Amino acid sequence: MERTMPRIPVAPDPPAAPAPPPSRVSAAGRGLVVECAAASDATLARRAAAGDRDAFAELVARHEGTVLRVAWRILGCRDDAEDAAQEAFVRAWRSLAGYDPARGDFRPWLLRITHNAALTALSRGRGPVPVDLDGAFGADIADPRAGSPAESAARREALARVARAVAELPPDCAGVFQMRYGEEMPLEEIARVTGQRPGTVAVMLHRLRDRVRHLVTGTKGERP
Amino acid sequence: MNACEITVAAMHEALDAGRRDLPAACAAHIAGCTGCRDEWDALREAEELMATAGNADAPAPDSALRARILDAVARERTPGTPAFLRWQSWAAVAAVVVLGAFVAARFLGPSPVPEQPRIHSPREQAEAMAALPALADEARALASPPRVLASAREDFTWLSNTIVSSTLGAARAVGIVGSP
Repeated sequence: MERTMPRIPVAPDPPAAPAPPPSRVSAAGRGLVVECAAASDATLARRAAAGDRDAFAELVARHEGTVLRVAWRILGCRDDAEDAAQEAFVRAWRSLAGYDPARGDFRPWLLRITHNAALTALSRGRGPVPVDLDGAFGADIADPRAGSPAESAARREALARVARAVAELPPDCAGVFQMRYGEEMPLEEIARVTGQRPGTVAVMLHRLRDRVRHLVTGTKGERP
Repeated sequence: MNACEITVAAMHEALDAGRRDLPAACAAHIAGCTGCRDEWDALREAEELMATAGNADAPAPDSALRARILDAVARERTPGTPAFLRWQSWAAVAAVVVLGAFVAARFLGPSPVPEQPRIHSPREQAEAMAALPALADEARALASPPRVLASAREDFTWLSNTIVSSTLGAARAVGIVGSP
């Protein structure tokens, strides 16, 4: 979909003004694109449920990153995550008639489908693929507090330990981790995705935080 | 729970909510408790490391993925038909098929096997032959024009009386005609 901002008419134009460059998108098309870009998720979902594929394409553009990352965190493999993301969006398209904006936002509804699609793929497939930790955290992670090469190296080591701890999480906990720390979703929204109570999600995060805290403490002890 | 346990629980609650500050009572406790202060520093650092880890190595979508998703959706039918209607449609199709099969079996199926003629004994055949002239006379009398006309007149009279009485009964029932 081509995103083109509408040209705001300014009258009167001077006679010698050059004509605007021709656009491949008609005025009606430009209006539709801008309208899609400005509409809320609920509005787009309602229009998509009525068969508007442009509205659904806008929803895909908005949420494909989150869907891909959550699926990847559960499955541990980009190819499998892309399959799960595609499956999630197709299931969402089929189920749009059952989506009620009054009962919750579109993102947790979509991520719940994603979560289920990824766990289903996991149950059918070969299981989570180990993350390549050696290449996961390189020198490209900037640390604003790292004043010396030794501190920077210590932080990279800490991050690698955290990544290793996250990679060893059970798939559903890994999905919760991604939603909380990658997508910065509130606990209540994560609970709607996983079908758990917010307190259960909070306990899961407390344990993970404690585990990482111990890793941090160990790292601190090794610092020069 | 002692003050340290309450303070640690408040730390987790604050981090769950995305805050980096604590309630005043907990902040006051931390100011005088080295263990809780170290715990708070470590938890905040853990939180920061996890936020970095959550974004550092995650894949980014590309245009090929979006095209693949939209292609898959383009092959799907338009949504909007609730699942129960689709289920009802299938049920209706199944009902039509069953009804059609029943009608076909009832009207288009093979004819019933004709009854095999019974083999009569010679004595029965002789008695039937002897009765034939009398049956022929009776049939001739029934088929004579006066008898046929009389029979038709009786049938017509019965049918007319039935229609008139039924109509009158219905008219009385709805109040058009009063009871006799």
